[in-house]
Amino acid sequence: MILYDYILSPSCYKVRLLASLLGAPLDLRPVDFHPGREHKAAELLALNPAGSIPILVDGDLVLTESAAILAYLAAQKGGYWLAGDAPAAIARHQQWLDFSHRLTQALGGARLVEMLHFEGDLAALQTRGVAALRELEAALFVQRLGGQSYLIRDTPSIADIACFPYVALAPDGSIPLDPYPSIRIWMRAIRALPGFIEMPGIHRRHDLAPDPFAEVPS
Amino acid sequence: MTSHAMRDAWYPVGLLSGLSEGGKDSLLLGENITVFGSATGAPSVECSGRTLPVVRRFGHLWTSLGTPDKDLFTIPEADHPERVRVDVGVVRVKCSPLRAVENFLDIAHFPFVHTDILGAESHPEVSEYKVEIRDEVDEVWATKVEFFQPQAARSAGGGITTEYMYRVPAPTCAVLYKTCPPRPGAWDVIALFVQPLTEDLCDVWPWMALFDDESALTDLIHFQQLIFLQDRSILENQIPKRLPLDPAKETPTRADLTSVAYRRWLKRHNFTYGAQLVAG
Amino acid sequence: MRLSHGFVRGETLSCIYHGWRFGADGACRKIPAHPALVPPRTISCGPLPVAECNGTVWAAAKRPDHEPVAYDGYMALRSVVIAASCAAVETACQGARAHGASKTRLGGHDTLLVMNGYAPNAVLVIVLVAETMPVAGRLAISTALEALRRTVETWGRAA
Repeated sequence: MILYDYILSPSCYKVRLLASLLGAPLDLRPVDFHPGREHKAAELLALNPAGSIPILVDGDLVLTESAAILAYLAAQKGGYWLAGDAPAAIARHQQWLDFSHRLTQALGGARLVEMLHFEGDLAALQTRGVAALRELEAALFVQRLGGQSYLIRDTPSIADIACFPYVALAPDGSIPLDPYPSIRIWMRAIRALPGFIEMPGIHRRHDLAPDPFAEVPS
Repeated sequence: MTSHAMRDAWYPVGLLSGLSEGGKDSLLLGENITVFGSATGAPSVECSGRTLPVVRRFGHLWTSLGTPDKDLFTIPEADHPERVRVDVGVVRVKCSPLRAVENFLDIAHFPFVHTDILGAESHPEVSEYKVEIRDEVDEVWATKVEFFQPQAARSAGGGITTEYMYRVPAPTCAVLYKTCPPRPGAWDVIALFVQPLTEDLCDVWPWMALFDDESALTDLIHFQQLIFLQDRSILENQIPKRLPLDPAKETPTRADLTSVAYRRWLKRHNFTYGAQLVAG
Repeated sequence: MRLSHGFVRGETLSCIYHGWRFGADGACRKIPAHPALVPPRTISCGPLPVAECNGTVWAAAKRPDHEPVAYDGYMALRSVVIAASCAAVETACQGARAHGASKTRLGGHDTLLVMNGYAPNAVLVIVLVAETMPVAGRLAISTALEALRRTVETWGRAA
């Protein structure tokens, strides 16, 4: 499987992260998104007329939206990361995948304005971003009251992976995460999953690695 | 209008390959400027109706608000015909332009911020190196800087002890020379050109001139963007926002000698835009 | 560098930037760039006095001459940040002041709100509820707290 990838793209990172969590190998094909705008050039437009990345190519199959790519990877690996059969779980899972697009537009939009000189109404994007984070915080609080660590149950699903990167990178768009304790607990849980990989702006949990100075008296 | 020594220095304001004929608005030292590309190859910069001096070098357009008393610095090593010259593109950072340069001069953060790439937590030690302010060229130099790196460059196959030299030829520019994995004896050149927008906001233009026959250009760009974006989240959370030039304010260790010399050199020249002189 | 970006291993807090380790007393225990060095006692991250009470962490600029007020039988449920002033939040919840907390009915239950107006237009509100409160009551209180936030912030936009 070939992933058309950009190292700074949270949407591409979703795919790399899930592939790593699943132990599914990917061939990465780096796309010069910035400054080259290669995603808008002929070769990539032929694959994806929308001019967006990630793009996953598996033989004759070409997939373009990150949520669809996540579903494909998860289904290939036994479906453990999908919603299961219960109607409510299927629906809530879909609801969070849809919600993830709002995160992309608001938090991701603010990030592109603040970081890479994209055009956009920063204040409006930030306002929408804060509204989305409050919704997520409230939902994760309710999940914790019910003893569940993730968005639809006590184990992670692709809904969590779809929402995680843009939330974790909200500070790149000058939206602090300090006011959201349930979100921070949820992010710490995701960062502790076996096979977790980082991207710039999302640090690994150094506390989970062995202490190289273990003999230091505390 | 600001009146300080940094007005007479040169600053990067755009990639030569990315200029727009219609003009692009930007900031320099808090003043509004407009950067114009040109089909005939003569780009220009305007500030409040004034035409500013320009220089085209290292793939970037450079300008100054004042009257530079010397030419923009050169990097002779970068001219080698076999080198790949890489425009990495711009990244905006909410930090003091001086802090962006100082972070670039620091190696002790590699194990924690660039984990398993430029440093490893199991090899955090910074051994002794040499730092000087070279009066004849008026530049800060650090040499014989050695550090263990798991993946020193895109072209590196595994962990190696890398040797670095750092050079600060202008208040918001730094050049790094480092061991070149595929070509022993030669140096890769990695530069950080910082455009000071305000005292706590900057546009950073990383640039490289490498010997690398193997890697695709996009891989080289991504490697440097990966490294710099790992730094960005650190830079935006430093306290105080402005670089303290009061020696009592922070606690330097032997690993920080380059930073100490850089701060001393800034203070000597009154390069204080983005600095904090009195402890606050 | 903000230490909140750092990490805790054992009994030390490490800075994410250079890995300097600080003990509970704020003193620097380790500088990884110089592994053999015993950090001078003068290096400290400047700790604040803190205390834990009712599931809430309290901090002070200087060591106060008293412990935080303990609200018997209450425990913190959740915190929210409201983009308003403390005064506006207090007006909205119409609570009686009781030992630094605001006694407020939320979702049909008695609650205590403790507040920290940490910026001119941002107040951290922690809601304390009866320790024995069942889950349904906790949900109702949480929902009512969000409604309270909407009310206060709407006033702010109207003003």
